[in-house]
Amino acid sequence: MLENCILCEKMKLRRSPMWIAFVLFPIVPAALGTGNYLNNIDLLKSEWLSLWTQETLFYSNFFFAPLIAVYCGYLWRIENRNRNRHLLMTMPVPVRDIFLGKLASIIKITLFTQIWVFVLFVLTGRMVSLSGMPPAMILLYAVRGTLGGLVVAALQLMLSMIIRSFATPIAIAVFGAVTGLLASNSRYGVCYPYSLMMVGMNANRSEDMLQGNPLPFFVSCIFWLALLCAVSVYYLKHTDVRA
Amino acid sequence: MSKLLSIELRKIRRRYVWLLFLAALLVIFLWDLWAILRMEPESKWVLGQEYEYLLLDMALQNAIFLPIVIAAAASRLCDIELKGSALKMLCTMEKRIDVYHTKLVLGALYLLAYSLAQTAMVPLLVRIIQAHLQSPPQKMPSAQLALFFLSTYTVSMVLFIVQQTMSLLSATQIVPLFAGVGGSLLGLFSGFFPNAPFRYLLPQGYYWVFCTVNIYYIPETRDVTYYPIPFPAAVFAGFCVFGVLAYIVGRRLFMGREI
Repeated sequence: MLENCILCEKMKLRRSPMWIAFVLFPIVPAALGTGNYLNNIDLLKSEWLSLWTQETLFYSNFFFAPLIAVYCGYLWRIENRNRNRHLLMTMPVPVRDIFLGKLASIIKITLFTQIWVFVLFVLTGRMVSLSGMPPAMILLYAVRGTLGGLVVAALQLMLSMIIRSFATPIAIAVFGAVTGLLASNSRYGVCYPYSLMMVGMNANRSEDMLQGNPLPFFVSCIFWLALLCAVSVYYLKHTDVRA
Repeated sequence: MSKLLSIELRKIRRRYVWLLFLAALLVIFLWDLWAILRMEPESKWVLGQEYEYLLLDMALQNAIFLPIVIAAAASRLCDIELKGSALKMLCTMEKRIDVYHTKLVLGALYLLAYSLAQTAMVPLLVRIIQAHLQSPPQKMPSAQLALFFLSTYTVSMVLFIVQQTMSLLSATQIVPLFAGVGGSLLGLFSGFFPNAPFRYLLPQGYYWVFCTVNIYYIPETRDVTYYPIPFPAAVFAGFCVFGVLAYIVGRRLFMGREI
């Protein structure tokens, strides 16, 4: 049944122009980071690592959360309009699968965006004449960032499900991103969902923010993902549908 | 107009549009406070240029937050009719142009309150810096503060006109909200390349263009010096003309929209 839900979500999003934003928007932080890198090339000596910190700084700090929030808002807006949520909730489909179907869509777009960000990073690295290929460590940062991004995505999906406004969860994502930036600079970065992507991607730090001990980060990501999914499914199951 | 405004206020009761602006102010305040409290007593670079530091900082924060906040606020104000397909009914009871103007006036009031509060926040934060670093008081640059208020309000108003038009024309609200997120990204982007001409292409970039402070950074010593730059009055006049054009085009598009 989950597979059918995922297919249904795919059908609902057919001909949606959302993908354009996810292709175009990461180009801006890539260009911004490359420009910053070239402007400070005398100070930034770590080549690929320095370029990575410049490119992921703005992307993971400020723009991923609002971007994914628009996508999550759109997924639930389809259900909130024309009393579609009544129809959705009366379908002979487990509530859990309805939510997980939507989450699968979000996971797909997050993965796609992260791969695109990495491709842009390699391309811009080659453009500024960095030698060889990026170190494997950066690929690990990208994977960690994807996991942190999934937590943000799950949180936004839950907020868009509960708050029946398109704009409010996006505004929450903006404030979450800023507070996440502050939290990521403290000891509690791995505890706060909006910081996890920044911490995972090692944005704007030359040394590893996890200091060679990634376990608390992975535990936190899994904890938040499980908690958010459980709360979302519980809410969807137990709250009356309002048209 | 007061009657229409009162109706509009009743429509957005419990939609908490004001909360968006208040939250933006609060986050900006906390961000600056956090930065100030992290300043070490030997942060000599900020001494004597506290106002300049904050004015430049707030231009950056406005370029990041306001495009998204304004997009969200405009969407919240316009969504109420679109959601219930109520425009058809509304336009049979009042002039269509009044619907456009009432929402615009409401947005203008929110932005006025925001810009005033943010400008008032600058001297308050300067006091906090001076207390934290135990530095001597700096003379308040009233003209720079007035220009900061004027530019913040004008750029935000023009953005609001553009966003409101998009929100009234868009059934799904995706385009205006993506425009808000993208505008924020591009506004920030333009600030990092002060000599590039594309900062003049998007209204979001004008938070930077009208900033009356610039920065001189010596990478070797990490010394920062802020210095005043003249307010680009001719560019400001041109931007106001753009704002009027955006209003005329927006009004025409809304009036011509098939309901």
